[in-house]
Amino acid sequence: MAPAILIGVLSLGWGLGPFVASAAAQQAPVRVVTTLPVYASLVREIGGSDVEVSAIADPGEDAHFVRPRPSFALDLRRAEAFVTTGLDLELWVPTLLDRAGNPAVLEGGRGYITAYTGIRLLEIPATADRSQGDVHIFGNPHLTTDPLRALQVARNVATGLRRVAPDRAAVFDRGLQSFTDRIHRRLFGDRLVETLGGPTLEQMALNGTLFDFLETNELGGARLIDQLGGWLERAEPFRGRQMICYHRDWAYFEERFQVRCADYVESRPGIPPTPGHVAELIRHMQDEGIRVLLSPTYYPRNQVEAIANRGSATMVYVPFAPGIAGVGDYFELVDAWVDGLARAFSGG
Amino acid sequence: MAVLATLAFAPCVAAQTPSDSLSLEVQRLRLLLDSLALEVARLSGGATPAQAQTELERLRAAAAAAAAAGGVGAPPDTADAQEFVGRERSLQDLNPEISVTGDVFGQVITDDPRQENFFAREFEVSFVSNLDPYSRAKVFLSRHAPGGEIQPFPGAEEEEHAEVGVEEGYVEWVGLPAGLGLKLGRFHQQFGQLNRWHPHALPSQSRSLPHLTFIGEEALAQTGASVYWLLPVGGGGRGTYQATFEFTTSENETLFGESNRPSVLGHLNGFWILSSSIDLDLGLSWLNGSYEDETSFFDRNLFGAEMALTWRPPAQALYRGVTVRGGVMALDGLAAGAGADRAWGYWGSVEARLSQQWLVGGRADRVENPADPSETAWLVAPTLTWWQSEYVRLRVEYDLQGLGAANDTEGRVLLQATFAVGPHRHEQY
Repeated sequence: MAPAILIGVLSLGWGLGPFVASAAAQQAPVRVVTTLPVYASLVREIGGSDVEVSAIADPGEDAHFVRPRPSFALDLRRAEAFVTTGLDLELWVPTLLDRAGNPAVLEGGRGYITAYTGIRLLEIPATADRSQGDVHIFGNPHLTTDPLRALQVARNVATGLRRVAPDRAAVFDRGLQSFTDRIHRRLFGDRLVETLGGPTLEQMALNGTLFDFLETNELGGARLIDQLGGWLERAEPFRGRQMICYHRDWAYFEERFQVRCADYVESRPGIPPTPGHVAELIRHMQDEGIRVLLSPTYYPRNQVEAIANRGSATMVYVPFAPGIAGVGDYFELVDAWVDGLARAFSGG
Repeated sequence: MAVLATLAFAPCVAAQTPSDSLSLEVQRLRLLLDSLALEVARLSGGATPAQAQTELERLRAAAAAAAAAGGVGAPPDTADAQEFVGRERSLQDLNPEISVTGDVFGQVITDDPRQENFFAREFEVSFVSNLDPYSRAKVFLSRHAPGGEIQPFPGAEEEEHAEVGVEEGYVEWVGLPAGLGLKLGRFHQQFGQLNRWHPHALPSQSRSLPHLTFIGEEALAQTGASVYWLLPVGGGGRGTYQATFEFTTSENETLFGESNRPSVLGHLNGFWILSSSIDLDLGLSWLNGSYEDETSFFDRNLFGAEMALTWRPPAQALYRGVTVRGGVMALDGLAAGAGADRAWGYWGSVEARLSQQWLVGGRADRVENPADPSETAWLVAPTLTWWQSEYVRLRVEYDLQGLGAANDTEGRVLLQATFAVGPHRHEQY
């Protein structure tokens, strides 16, 4: 009798084992690797505690020139999902993917997620010609300088995570819904979102009709433009103004916040400035009265500062990714950009 | 404005399929009605509290109409098409990525400035493409011209003519079970780290003296199979480890003479991230084969150990950084009469980035002559490098080379120009 009971218990244990292991595996967070820290921040917004995410690039690093290190290949080997821009920004990705040899995150794999999908790209060159500098042949890849494009990246992340872990689709949907609402409210302000709805405002902003609509319509005798809140309200000091930018990092920010990079510190994208170009740039700043110079912190501070001083401009030297300079997440990153520029344009 | 936006939206709606079009048409007319009502309300003055909700609804409808503007594209008009173009004969988009690199230099030998001094050392054409979902192909064709080489010891045979050949050509499988990778074909072998780099990518104009002496001017490249495995342990500061095993022909004449027996190579690499700015790379290599010529046959081993220590603060990586490299090589199995069983070689280099475009560096090498290990050659070479852009690099190097005692020396100044055309990606790792 005793052997029979023992065999029965063992059989039960043997039979239940996989289910117990499976249940434990279901509790484990989805392992995600991203190329850029900003994508990691978006993954956290969507997945919360159901994801474990790491970024390959350092928050302070220029994404163009990340040095692929063997440990990154090991991270990718262990990953269930991988988020990359999918354009010609992180040209170091193929080497790492090949070394990692993880079919789940290789191009076309279930966990391979591109940020650019569904995004209208700007600055697509008429011709791929390096006499124009280090051009991005598919268009500008610095997508997340626009909060609405960052929202589309988040949607792509949610799509990818649902595919990788369908059992937690509801978690990712809730994360996306919350992130979407927060982006709408932080960009347009609570009053407009409650009046017109976030999705409608988003669509108007994307198709370029938002400001016309707000300026020509009113509710209860009050102009809608006066009800604008959030980042767009805080960006009013620089809407329609011009600034100098170091590199073509800001195309999508320019479109969203209606500010323009009138000239660049680099003589061509990716080409360091020559003394002649700097002299011309300073003349341009003085002739046009451009008083603000915007640069990510991975460009040499003393160079940016020297040019700003010579052009009598205010330097706005900001992080380009969450994780440095007290910037914890994507919202604080946009805060830093908008508030930094608003202060500079207001003469603060 | 809202009315105009709504009217602009009207023709787009007709672009939908018949099943969609009726409901979209109803929606369009509703939006049009709402926006017209809104305009009337706007023109007639302020709203009473009772009208406020209605006004809000109309405002939302007008906003929805504005939001939909441009959201639906009209189909292309093909009614007047005069010619239909097939694309069956125009599949150029499937061509591989093609890049060209050039590596040319001029030299002035301090003792003999009149010597021929301009060399187009190498032009390389590369073809890289995915073959299918599982494998990739890489082919590098190069034209290598003789001239300007460093000769550690006098008497070595010199090439006389330019040669065109396949520098590398292999198919690579990634994503195999257990994290294995596999290459088949002719490839730069994983003997140390720099052997896999093509000459135009090296931190100085030539390979190290131990490499030139034991392996030859070219990289160790033979035909066969390479299996590599990224060990699933460690990570970050705990180390990342990769093991490589290669089974190839013995085409390298410097190492193997005329042998037609296979050679095997083993390589173990460890990589540690010591801090966000500092990492350490250590590698051990071993190559075994047999040397054979008309008069002799013996077993031969080449051992190598190398390290690279890199300081590269991420936030300043565009314009600051230092890399220190060093290595030792031992050739075991020398010809009869060499007077020893083993010849040793050592090398070390440093390269510091001063700005986005300027780098300064230097190297020092020492090697024993395999034909007579009591004889040594050495080289000291400071370099100054300027990157005009990512695709054009100019370098000035001074090579001071000596044999044995320091008074038997030769110096030369060398200017190297390297350029890349196309989507060339240098794979350091």
